[in-house]
Amino acid sequence: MAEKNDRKETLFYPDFMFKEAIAALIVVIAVVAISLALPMKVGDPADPSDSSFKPKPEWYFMAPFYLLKVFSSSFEVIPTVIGPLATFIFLLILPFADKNPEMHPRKRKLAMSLMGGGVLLTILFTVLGILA
Amino acid sequence: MEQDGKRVTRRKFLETGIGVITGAIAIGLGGTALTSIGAPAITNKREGKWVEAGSASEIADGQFHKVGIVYDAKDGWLEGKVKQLVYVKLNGEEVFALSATCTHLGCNVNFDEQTGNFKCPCHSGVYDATGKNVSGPPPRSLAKLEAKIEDGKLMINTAVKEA
Amino acid sequence: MFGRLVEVFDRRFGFREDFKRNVLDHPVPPRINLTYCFGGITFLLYMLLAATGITMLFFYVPSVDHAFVTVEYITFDLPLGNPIRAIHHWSAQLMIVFVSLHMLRVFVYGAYKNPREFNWVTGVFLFGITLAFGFTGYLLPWDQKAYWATKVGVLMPKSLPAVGPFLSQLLMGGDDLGALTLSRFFAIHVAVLPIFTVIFLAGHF
Repeated sequence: MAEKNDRKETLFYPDFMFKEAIAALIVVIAVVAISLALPMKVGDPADPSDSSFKPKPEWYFMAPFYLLKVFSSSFEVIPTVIGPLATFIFLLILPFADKNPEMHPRKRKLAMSLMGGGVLLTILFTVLGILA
Repeated sequence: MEQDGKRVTRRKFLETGIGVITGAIAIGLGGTALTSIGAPAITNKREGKWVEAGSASEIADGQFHKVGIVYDAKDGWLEGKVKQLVYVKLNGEEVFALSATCTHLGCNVNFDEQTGNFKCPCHSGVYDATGKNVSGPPPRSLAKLEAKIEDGKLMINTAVKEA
Repeated sequence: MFGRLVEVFDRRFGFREDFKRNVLDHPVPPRINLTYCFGGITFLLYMLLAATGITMLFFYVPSVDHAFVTVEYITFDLPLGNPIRAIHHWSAQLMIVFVSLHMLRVFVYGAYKNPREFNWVTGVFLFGITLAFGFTGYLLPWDQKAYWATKVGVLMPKSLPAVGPFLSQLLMGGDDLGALTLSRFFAIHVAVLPIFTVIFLAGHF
Protein backbone atom coordinates (compact mmCIF):
# COMPACT_ATOMS: atom_id res chain seq x y z
CA MET A 1 0.00 0.00 0.00
CA ALA A 2 2.71 2.42 1.01
CA GLU A 3 4.72 1.56 -2.06
CA LYS A 4 1.77 2.21 -4.31
CA ASN A 5 1.22 5.60 -2.72
CA ASP A 6 4.83 6.57 -3.19
CA ARG A 7 4.67 5.72 -6.84
CA LYS A 8 1.48 7.61 -7.31
CA GLU A 9 3.02 10.71 -5.84
CA THR A 10 5.60 10.94 -8.58
CA LEU A 11 3.29 10.83 -11.58
CA PHE A 12 3.25 13.73 -14.00
CA TYR A 13 -0.37 14.55 -13.24
CA PRO A 14 -1.35 16.15 -10.97
CA ASP A 15 1.71 16.60 -8.74
CA PHE A 16 4.32 17.76 -11.20
CA MET A 17 1.75 19.54 -13.34
CA PHE A 18 0.81 21.62 -10.31
CA LYS A 19 4.41 22.79 -9.89
CA GLU A 20 4.55 23.54 -13.61
CA ALA A 21 1.38 25.61 -13.27
CA ILE A 22 2.90 27.66 -10.44
CA ALA A 23 6.08 28.19 -12.48
CA ALA A 24 3.94 29.14 -15.50
CA LEU A 25 2.06 31.72 -13.47
CA ILE A 26 5.33 33.29 -12.27
CA VAL A 27 6.72 33.42 -15.81
CA VAL A 28 3.53 34.96 -17.23
CA ILE A 29 3.53 37.64 -14.54
CA ALA A 30 7.21 38.33 -15.23
CA VAL A 31 6.70 38.57 -19.01
CA VAL A 32 3.72 40.91 -18.61
CA ALA A 33 5.66 43.05 -16.10
CA ILE A 34 8.67 43.35 -18.43
CA SER A 35 6.37 44.11 -21.37
CA LEU A 36 4.64 46.92 -19.50
CA ALA A 37 7.87 48.31 -18.07
CA LEU A 38 9.69 48.27 -21.41
CA PRO A 39 7.14 49.15 -24.10
CA MET A 40 8.05 48.52 -27.73
CA LYS A 41 9.35 51.25 -29.98
CA VAL A 42 9.92 51.31 -33.71
CA GLY A 43 13.18 52.15 -35.45
CA ASP A 44 13.54 53.88 -38.77
CA PRO A 45 12.08 52.27 -41.89
CA ALA A 46 14.46 49.99 -43.79
CA ASP A 47 16.62 52.00 -46.18
CA PRO A 48 18.85 49.99 -48.54
CA SER A 49 20.62 53.21 -49.63
CA ASP A 50 21.81 54.04 -46.12
CA SER A 51 25.41 53.35 -45.12
CA SER A 52 25.41 54.64 -41.57
CA PHE A 53 23.57 51.76 -39.99
CA LYS A 54 25.62 49.20 -38.11
CA PRO A 55 23.92 45.82 -38.34
CA LYS A 56 23.53 43.89 -35.14
CA PRO A 57 21.82 40.51 -34.92
CA GLU A 58 19.76 39.24 -32.01
CA TRP A 59 21.98 38.31 -29.08
CA TYR A 60 21.51 34.58 -29.74
CA PHE A 61 23.07 34.90 -33.20
CA MET A 62 25.93 36.99 -31.87
CA ALA A 63 28.50 34.18 -31.62
CA PRO A 64 28.78 33.36 -35.37
CA PHE A 65 28.39 37.06 -36.16
CA TYR A 66 31.36 37.86 -33.95
CA LEU A 67 33.47 35.05 -35.43
CA LEU A 68 32.95 36.53 -38.88
CA LYS A 69 35.24 39.36 -37.82
CA VAL A 70 37.86 36.95 -36.49
CA PHE A 71 38.19 34.64 -39.48
CA SER A 72 39.71 35.94 -42.69
CA SER A 73 37.46 35.80 -45.71
CA SER A 74 38.92 32.56 -47.07
CA PHE A 75 37.98 30.76 -43.83
CA GLU A 76 34.68 32.57 -43.47
CA VAL A 77 32.81 29.37 -44.14
CA ILE A 78 33.83 28.09 -40.67
CA PRO A 79 31.65 30.42 -38.59
CA THR A 80 28.93 30.84 -41.21
CA VAL A 81 28.20 27.26 -42.19
CA ILE A 82 30.53 24.66 -40.76
CA GLY A 83 30.28 25.78 -37.12
CA PRO A 84 26.50 25.92 -36.85
CA LEU A 85 26.07 22.77 -38.95
CA ALA A 86 28.63 20.82 -36.90
CA THR A 87 26.94 21.90 -33.67
CA PHE A 88 23.57 20.76 -34.98
CA ILE A 89 24.89 17.37 -36.12
CA PHE A 90 26.81 16.88 -32.86
CA LEU A 91 23.59 17.47 -30.90
CA LEU A 92 21.57 15.20 -33.18
CA ILE A 93 23.85 12.17 -32.90
CA LEU A 94 24.69 12.74 -29.25
CA PRO A 95 22.39 10.04 -27.77
CA PHE A 96 23.73 7.47 -30.27
CA ALA A 97 27.40 8.43 -30.02
CA ASP A 98 27.39 8.57 -26.23
CA LYS A 99 27.24 4.89 -25.27
CA ASN A 100 28.25 5.53 -21.67
CA PRO A 101 25.37 4.11 -19.60
CA GLU A 102 26.14 6.37 -16.63
CA MET A 103 23.61 9.12 -15.90
CA HIS A 104 25.40 11.08 -13.19
CA PRO A 105 27.36 14.08 -14.56
CA ARG A 106 30.48 13.24 -12.47
CA LYS A 107 30.77 9.86 -14.14
CA ARG A 108 30.59 11.30 -17.66
CA LYS A 109 33.79 13.31 -17.81
CA LEU A 110 34.23 13.32 -21.59
CA ALA A 111 30.63 14.26 -22.45
CA MET A 112 30.48 16.89 -19.73
CA SER A 113 33.76 18.54 -20.70
CA LEU A 114 32.85 18.58 -24.42
CA MET A 115 29.47 20.17 -23.73
CA GLY A 116 30.88 22.47 -21.06
CA GLY A 117 33.60 23.66 -23.43
CA GLY A 118 31.09 24.29 -26.21
CA VAL A 119 28.77 26.24 -23.95
CA LEU A 120 31.60 28.33 -22.51
CA LEU A 121 32.95 29.17 -25.98
CA THR A 122 29.48 30.15 -27.18
CA ILE A 123 28.98 32.39 -24.16
CA LEU A 124 32.46 33.89 -24.63
CA PHE A 125 31.90 34.73 -28.31
CA THR A 126 28.44 36.09 -27.55
CA VAL A 127 29.80 38.41 -24.86
CA LEU A 128 32.72 39.50 -27.07
CA GLY A 129 30.28 40.20 -29.89
CA ILE A 130 28.01 42.28 -27.69
CA LEU A 131 30.93 44.26 -26.29
CA ALA A 132 32.50 44.83 -29.72
CA MET B 1 -9.39 4.55 4.83
CA GLU B 2 -8.60 7.95 6.32
CA GLN B 3 -5.36 7.94 4.35
CA ASP B 4 -7.30 7.45 1.15
CA GLY B 5 -9.58 10.35 2.03
CA LYS B 6 -6.62 12.66 2.50
CA ARG B 7 -5.17 11.51 -0.79
CA VAL B 8 -8.38 12.32 -2.58
CA THR B 9 -8.58 15.85 -1.17
CA ARG B 10 -4.93 16.47 -1.99
CA ARG B 11 -5.51 15.33 -5.55
CA LYS B 12 -8.62 17.48 -5.71
CA PHE B 13 -6.66 20.49 -4.46
CA LEU B 14 -3.90 20.04 -7.01
CA GLU B 15 -6.35 19.56 -9.85
CA THR B 16 -8.30 22.66 -8.86
CA GLY B 17 -5.07 24.65 -8.63
CA ILE B 18 -4.01 23.58 -12.12
CA GLY B 19 -7.45 24.42 -13.48
CA VAL B 20 -7.57 27.86 -11.86
CA ILE B 21 -4.07 28.85 -12.97
CA THR B 22 -4.31 27.65 -16.57
CA GLY B 23 -7.81 29.11 -16.76
CA ALA B 24 -6.63 32.49 -15.50
CA ILE B 25 -3.73 32.58 -17.97
CA ALA B 26 -5.98 31.56 -20.86
CA ILE B 27 -8.66 34.12 -19.99
CA GLY B 28 -6.12 36.92 -19.51
CA LEU B 29 -4.40 36.15 -22.78
CA GLY B 30 -7.60 35.59 -24.73
CA GLY B 31 -9.16 38.73 -23.28
CA THR B 32 -6.17 40.85 -24.25
CA ALA B 33 -6.13 39.43 -27.77
CA LEU B 34 -9.88 39.86 -28.27
CA THR B 35 -9.77 43.42 -26.94
CA SER B 36 -7.20 44.36 -29.55
CA ILE B 37 -8.98 42.56 -32.34
CA GLY B 38 -12.34 44.02 -31.34
CA ALA B 39 -11.24 47.58 -30.62
CA PRO B 40 -11.20 48.86 -34.24
CA ALA B 41 -14.93 48.15 -34.42
CA ILE B 42 -15.31 51.16 -32.13
CA THR B 43 -12.21 53.24 -32.80
CA ASN B 44 -11.90 52.99 -36.58
CA LYS B 45 -14.46 55.69 -37.50
CA ARG B 46 -14.44 57.73 -40.64
CA GLU B 47 -14.72 61.45 -39.99
CA GLY B 48 -16.69 63.78 -42.23
CA LYS B 49 -14.83 66.40 -44.21
CA TRP B 50 -15.50 68.83 -47.03
CA VAL B 51 -14.33 67.49 -50.36
CA GLU B 52 -14.15 69.23 -53.71
CA ALA B 53 -16.23 67.35 -56.26
CA GLY B 54 -15.75 69.21 -59.53
CA SER B 55 -17.01 72.54 -60.78
CA ALA B 56 -20.50 73.92 -60.20
CA SER B 57 -21.16 74.39 -63.91
CA GLU B 58 -21.28 70.61 -64.40
CA ILE B 59 -24.52 70.36 -62.45
CA ALA B 60 -26.07 73.63 -63.65
CA ASP B 61 -28.83 71.84 -65.62
CA GLY B 62 -30.84 70.92 -62.53
CA GLN B 63 -30.64 67.16 -63.18
CA PHE B 64 -29.19 64.43 -61.00
CA HIS B 65 -25.51 63.83 -61.58
CA LYS B 66 -23.45 60.91 -60.51
CA VAL B 67 -20.32 62.18 -58.75
CA GLY B 68 -17.50 59.92 -57.64
CA ILE B 69 -15.56 61.67 -54.90
CA VAL B 70 -12.03 60.70 -53.93
CA TYR B 71 -10.42 62.00 -50.78
CA ASP B 72 -7.69 61.30 -48.23
CA ALA B 73 -8.85 59.47 -45.15
CA LYS B 74 -7.47 57.34 -42.38
CA ASP B 75 -8.58 53.73 -42.37
CA GLY B 76 -6.82 51.82 -39.62
CA TRP B 77 -3.13 51.92 -40.48
CA LEU B 78 -3.83 53.13 -44.02
CA GLU B 79 -3.75 56.83 -44.76
CA GLY B 80 -4.77 57.01 -48.34
CA LYS B 81 -7.45 57.57 -50.93
CA VAL B 82 -11.02 56.58 -50.21
CA LYS B 83 -13.76 56.60 -52.84
CA GLN B 84 -17.46 57.25 -52.46
CA LEU B 85 -20.41 57.69 -54.87
CA VAL B 86 -22.86 60.59 -54.49
CA TYR B 87 -25.86 61.85 -56.52
CA VAL B 88 -26.00 65.63 -56.77
CA LYS B 89 -28.66 67.99 -58.13
CA LEU B 90 -28.97 71.76 -58.20
CA ASN B 91 -32.24 73.06 -56.72
CA GLY B 92 -32.08 76.78 -57.50
CA GLU B 93 -29.33 78.04 -55.19
CA GLU B 94 -29.30 74.93 -53.04
CA VAL B 95 -27.35 71.78 -53.79
CA PHE B 96 -29.15 68.55 -53.02
CA ALA B 97 -26.83 65.56 -52.42
CA LEU B 98 -27.72 61.92 -51.74
CA SER B 99 -25.41 59.11 -50.79
CA ALA B 100 -25.66 56.32 -53.37
CA THR B 101 -25.41 53.67 -50.65
CA CYS B 102 -28.60 51.63 -50.46
CA THR B 103 -29.94 51.53 -46.89
CA HIS B 104 -30.76 47.85 -47.27
CA LEU B 105 -27.41 46.11 -47.63
CA GLY B 106 -25.06 48.77 -48.92
CA CYS B 107 -24.99 48.37 -52.73
CA ASN B 108 -24.71 51.54 -54.84
CA VAL B 109 -28.07 52.58 -56.34
CA ASN B 110 -28.53 53.73 -59.96
CA PHE B 111 -30.56 56.71 -61.13
CA ASP B 112 -33.20 55.79 -63.69
CA GLU B 113 -33.78 58.83 -65.91
CA GLN B 114 -37.08 57.51 -67.33
CA THR B 115 -38.88 57.04 -64.03
CA GLY B 116 -36.86 59.58 -62.07
CA ASN B 117 -36.26 56.98 -59.37
CA PHE B 118 -33.23 55.40 -57.81
CA LYS B 119 -33.04 51.63 -58.18
CA CYS B 120 -30.85 49.27 -56.26
CA PRO B 121 -29.37 46.54 -58.50
CA CYS B 122 -29.07 44.07 -55.65
CA HIS B 123 -32.60 43.48 -54.35
CA SER B 124 -34.71 45.85 -56.45
CA GLY B 125 -35.20 48.51 -53.80
CA VAL B 126 -36.63 51.75 -55.20
CA TYR B 127 -36.27 55.33 -53.92
CA ASP B 128 -37.95 58.41 -55.37
CA ALA B 129 -36.16 61.56 -56.46
CA THR B 130 -36.11 62.93 -52.92
CA GLY B 131 -34.36 59.75 -51.75
CA LYS B 132 -37.40 58.36 -49.96
CA ASN B 133 -37.71 54.58 -50.02
CA VAL B 134 -40.89 53.75 -51.96
CA SER B 135 -40.72 50.00 -52.59
CA GLY B 136 -38.65 46.89 -52.00
CA PRO B 137 -36.61 45.97 -48.95
CA PRO B 138 -34.87 49.29 -48.04
CA PRO B 139 -35.83 50.30 -44.48
CA ARG B 140 -34.93 54.00 -44.75
CA SER B 141 -34.45 56.86 -47.20
CA LEU B 142 -31.08 57.38 -48.85
CA ALA B 143 -28.74 59.39 -46.63
CA LYS B 144 -28.57 63.12 -47.37
CA LEU B 145 -25.20 64.80 -47.49
CA GLU B 146 -24.28 68.44 -46.93
CA ALA B 147 -23.27 70.12 -50.16
CA LYS B 148 -22.64 73.69 -51.32
CA ILE B 149 -21.15 75.78 -54.07
CA GLU B 150 -18.13 77.83 -53.17
CA ASP B 151 -16.19 79.98 -55.67
CA GLY B 152 -17.78 78.04 -58.51
CA LYS B 153 -16.76 74.70 -57.06
CA LEU B 154 -19.03 71.95 -55.87
CA MET B 155 -18.22 70.96 -52.30
CA ILE B 156 -19.58 67.89 -50.54
CA ASN B 157 -19.30 66.91 -46.89
CA THR B 158 -18.65 63.20 -46.53
CA ALA B 159 -20.45 63.01 -43.16
CA VAL B 160 -24.07 61.91 -43.33
CA LYS B 161 -26.33 64.91 -42.59
CA GLU B 162 -29.54 63.06 -42.03
CA ALA B 163 -29.88 59.30 -41.97
CA MET C 1 -21.22 18.80 -23.38
CA PHE C 2 -17.48 18.96 -23.87
CA GLY C 3 -17.06 15.72 -21.94
CA ARG C 4 -19.60 14.09 -24.24
CA LEU C 5 -17.67 15.25 -27.29
CA VAL C 6 -14.41 13.91 -25.87
CA GLU C 7 -16.13 10.58 -25.24
CA VAL C 8 -17.38 10.31 -28.83
CA PHE C 9 -13.91 10.98 -30.20
CA ASP C 10 -12.36 8.64 -27.66
CA ARG C 11 -14.61 5.78 -28.71
CA ARG C 12 -13.55 6.34 -32.31
CA PHE C 13 -9.82 6.95 -31.80
CA GLY C 14 -9.11 5.73 -28.28
CA PHE C 15 -6.68 8.54 -27.54
CA ARG C 16 -7.64 8.95 -23.91
CA GLU C 17 -5.88 5.82 -22.73
CA ASP C 18 -2.74 6.74 -24.69
CA PHE C 19 -2.79 10.29 -23.41
CA LYS C 20 -3.25 9.09 -19.83
CA ARG C 21 -0.49 6.51 -20.08
CA ASN C 22 2.05 8.61 -22.00
CA VAL C 23 1.48 12.07 -20.65
CA LEU C 24 -0.54 12.20 -17.43
CA ASP C 25 0.73 9.03 -15.73
CA HIS C 26 4.22 9.47 -17.07
CA PRO C 27 6.45 8.84 -14.04
CA VAL C 28 8.59 11.71 -12.81
CA PRO C 29 11.89 11.06 -11.04
CA PRO C 30 11.31 10.96 -7.28
CA ARG C 31 13.59 13.88 -6.49
CA ILE C 32 12.76 16.65 -8.88
CA ASN C 33 13.82 20.29 -8.61
CA LEU C 34 13.17 23.59 -10.25
CA THR C 35 15.17 22.77 -13.36
CA TYR C 36 12.55 20.22 -14.43
CA CYS C 37 10.16 23.12 -15.13
CA PHE C 38 12.21 24.55 -18.01
CA GLY C 39 10.54 22.47 -20.70
CA GLY C 40 7.07 23.32 -19.48
CA ILE C 41 7.96 27.01 -19.33
CA THR C 42 9.24 26.84 -22.90
CA PHE C 43 5.90 25.39 -23.98
CA LEU C 44 4.04 28.12 -22.09
CA LEU C 45 6.14 30.80 -23.80
CA TYR C 46 5.32 29.21 -27.14
CA MET C 47 1.62 29.52 -26.28
CA LEU C 48 2.10 33.21 -25.40
CA LEU C 49 3.89 33.70 -28.72
CA ALA C 50 1.12 31.96 -30.64
CA ALA C 51 -1.65 34.01 -29.02
CA THR C 52 0.08 37.38 -29.44
CA GLY C 53 1.32 36.42 -32.92
CA ILE C 54 -2.15 35.50 -34.15
CA THR C 55 -3.48 38.78 -32.76
CA MET C 56 -0.85 40.76 -34.68
CA LEU C 57 -1.74 38.81 -37.84
CA PHE C 58 -5.04 40.71 -37.81
CA PHE C 59 -3.13 43.93 -38.41
CA TYR C 60 0.30 43.26 -39.86
CA VAL C 61 0.79 43.38 -43.63
CA PRO C 62 3.90 41.63 -45.02
CA SER C 63 4.73 44.04 -47.80
CA VAL C 64 7.70 46.38 -48.06
CA ASP C 65 5.28 49.29 -48.45
CA HIS C 66 3.12 48.46 -45.47
CA ALA C 67 5.07 46.32 -42.99
CA PHE C 68 6.63 49.27 -41.18
CA VAL C 69 3.38 51.28 -41.14
CA THR C 70 1.35 48.39 -39.78
CA VAL C 71 3.94 47.72 -37.06
CA GLU C 72 3.76 51.40 -36.14
CA TYR C 73 -0.02 51.10 -36.02
CA ILE C 74 0.19 48.06 -33.71
CA THR C 75 2.79 49.77 -31.53
CA PHE C 76 1.21 53.20 -31.11
CA ASP C 77 -2.45 53.24 -32.22
CA LEU C 78 -3.99 49.87 -31.57
CA PRO C 79 -5.55 49.47 -28.09
CA LEU C 80 -3.35 46.99 -26.15
CA GLY C 81 -1.21 46.70 -29.29
CA ASN C 82 1.98 47.72 -27.54
CA PRO C 83 1.72 45.17 -24.70
CA ILE C 84 0.83 42.47 -27.23
CA ARG C 85 3.88 43.21 -29.36
CA ALA C 86 6.02 43.53 -26.22
CA ILE C 87 4.82 40.18 -24.87
CA HIS C 88 5.64 38.63 -28.26
CA HIS C 89 9.12 40.15 -28.18
CA TRP C 90 9.99 39.30 -24.58
CA SER C 91 8.50 35.81 -24.73
CA ALA C 92 10.69 35.16 -27.77
CA GLN C 93 13.81 36.27 -25.90
CA LEU C 94 12.90 34.17 -22.88
CA MET C 95 12.02 31.18 -25.04
CA ILE C 96 15.59 31.05 -26.39
CA VAL C 97 16.85 31.21 -22.81
CA PHE C 98 14.55 28.47 -21.54
CA VAL C 99 15.07 26.17 -24.54
CA SER C 100 18.80 26.37 -23.89
CA LEU C 101 18.40 25.81 -20.15
CA HIS C 102 16.05 22.89 -20.79
CA MET C 103 18.56 21.29 -23.15
CA LEU C 104 21.41 21.80 -20.72
CA ARG C 105 19.37 20.29 -17.88
CA VAL C 106 18.54 17.23 -19.97
CA PHE C 107 22.19 16.92 -20.95
CA VAL C 108 23.60 17.26 -17.43
CA TYR C 109 21.17 14.67 -16.05
CA GLY C 110 21.97 12.31 -18.91
CA ALA C 111 18.27 12.20 -19.71
CA TYR C 112 18.84 11.99 -23.47
CA LYS C 113 20.04 8.39 -23.17
CA ASN C 114 18.22 5.20 -24.00
CA PRO C 115 15.21 4.93 -24.00
CA ARG C 116 14.69 8.65 -24.52
CA GLU C 117 16.94 9.30 -27.55
CA PHE C 118 13.91 10.14 -29.64
CA ASN C 119 12.84 12.89 -27.25
CA TRP C 120 16.32 14.40 -27.53
CA VAL C 121 16.40 14.26 -31.33
CA THR C 122 12.98 15.89 -31.72
CA GLY C 123 14.14 18.40 -29.12
CA VAL C 124 17.22 19.31 -31.18
CA PHE C 125 14.94 19.95 -34.17
CA LEU C 126 12.67 22.08 -31.98
CA PHE C 127 15.73 24.07 -30.88
CA GLY C 128 16.58 24.70 -34.54
CA ILE C 129 12.97 25.68 -35.26
CA THR C 130 13.07 28.15 -32.37
CA LEU C 131 16.18 29.81 -33.80
CA ALA C 132 14.54 29.91 -37.24
CA PHE C 133 11.51 31.61 -35.66
CA GLY C 134 13.84 34.22 -34.22
CA PHE C 135 15.68 34.77 -37.51
CA THR C 136 12.56 35.11 -39.68
CA GLY C 137 10.62 37.15 -37.13
CA TYR C 138 13.41 39.69 -36.78
CA LEU C 139 12.92 40.88 -40.39
CA LEU C 140 9.15 41.41 -40.24
CA PRO C 141 9.05 44.97 -38.77
CA TRP C 142 11.09 46.03 -41.83
CA ASP C 143 13.08 48.66 -39.97
CA GLN C 144 16.78 49.44 -40.34
CA LYS C 145 17.80 46.98 -37.64
CA ALA C 146 15.76 44.20 -39.24
CA TYR C 147 16.94 44.90 -42.76
CA TRP C 148 20.67 45.06 -42.11
CA ALA C 149 20.89 42.21 -39.62
CA THR C 150 18.95 39.94 -41.97
CA LYS C 151 21.10 41.02 -44.88
CA VAL C 152 24.20 39.75 -43.06
CA GLY C 153 22.33 36.57 -42.10
CA VAL C 154 21.10 35.63 -45.56
CA LEU C 155 24.48 36.29 -47.15
CA MET C 156 26.31 34.04 -44.68
CA PRO C 157 25.78 30.78 -46.63
CA LYS C 158 27.41 32.48 -49.65
CA SER C 159 30.82 31.57 -48.27
CA LEU C 160 30.05 27.90 -48.83
CA PRO C 161 31.73 26.71 -52.04
CA ALA C 162 29.59 25.78 -55.07
CA VAL C 163 26.03 25.82 -53.67
CA GLY C 164 26.56 28.77 -51.29
CA PRO C 165 25.53 31.65 -53.56
CA PHE C 166 22.46 29.77 -54.66
CA LEU C 167 21.46 29.13 -51.04
CA SER C 168 21.63 32.85 -50.35
CA GLN C 169 19.51 33.61 -53.40
CA LEU C 170 17.04 31.00 -52.27
CA LEU C 171 16.75 32.61 -48.84
CA MET C 172 16.23 36.05 -50.39
CA GLY C 173 14.06 34.97 -53.29
CA GLY C 174 16.36 36.69 -55.75
CA ASP C 175 19.51 38.76 -55.89
CA ASP C 176 18.47 41.24 -53.26
CA LEU C 177 16.78 41.47 -49.91
CA GLY C 178 13.37 42.82 -50.85
CA ALA C 179 9.68 42.22 -51.37
CA LEU C 180 10.00 38.49 -51.97
CA THR C 181 12.33 38.04 -48.99
CA LEU C 182 9.79 39.63 -46.68
CA SER C 183 6.97 37.49 -48.10
CA ARG C 184 8.84 34.23 -47.68
CA PHE C 185 10.14 35.06 -44.22
CA PHE C 186 6.57 35.90 -43.24
CA ALA C 187 5.20 32.65 -44.67
CA ILE C 188 7.90 30.63 -42.92
CA HIS C 189 7.39 32.49 -39.64
CA VAL C 190 3.60 32.25 -39.40
CA ALA C 191 2.81 29.00 -41.25
CA VAL C 192 5.71 26.66 -41.97
CA LEU C 193 7.48 26.81 -38.60
CA PRO C 194 4.30 26.55 -36.48
CA ILE C 195 3.28 23.40 -38.40
CA PHE C 196 6.71 21.80 -37.89
CA THR C 197 6.65 22.82 -34.25
CA VAL C 198 3.38 20.97 -33.70
CA ILE C 199 4.68 17.87 -35.50
CA PHE C 200 7.94 17.71 -33.53
CA LEU C 201 6.22 18.64 -30.29
CA ALA C 202 3.83 15.70 -30.68
CA GLY C 203 6.86 13.43 -30.84
CA HIS C 204 8.68 15.28 -28.08
CA PHE C 205 6.23 14.86 -25.18
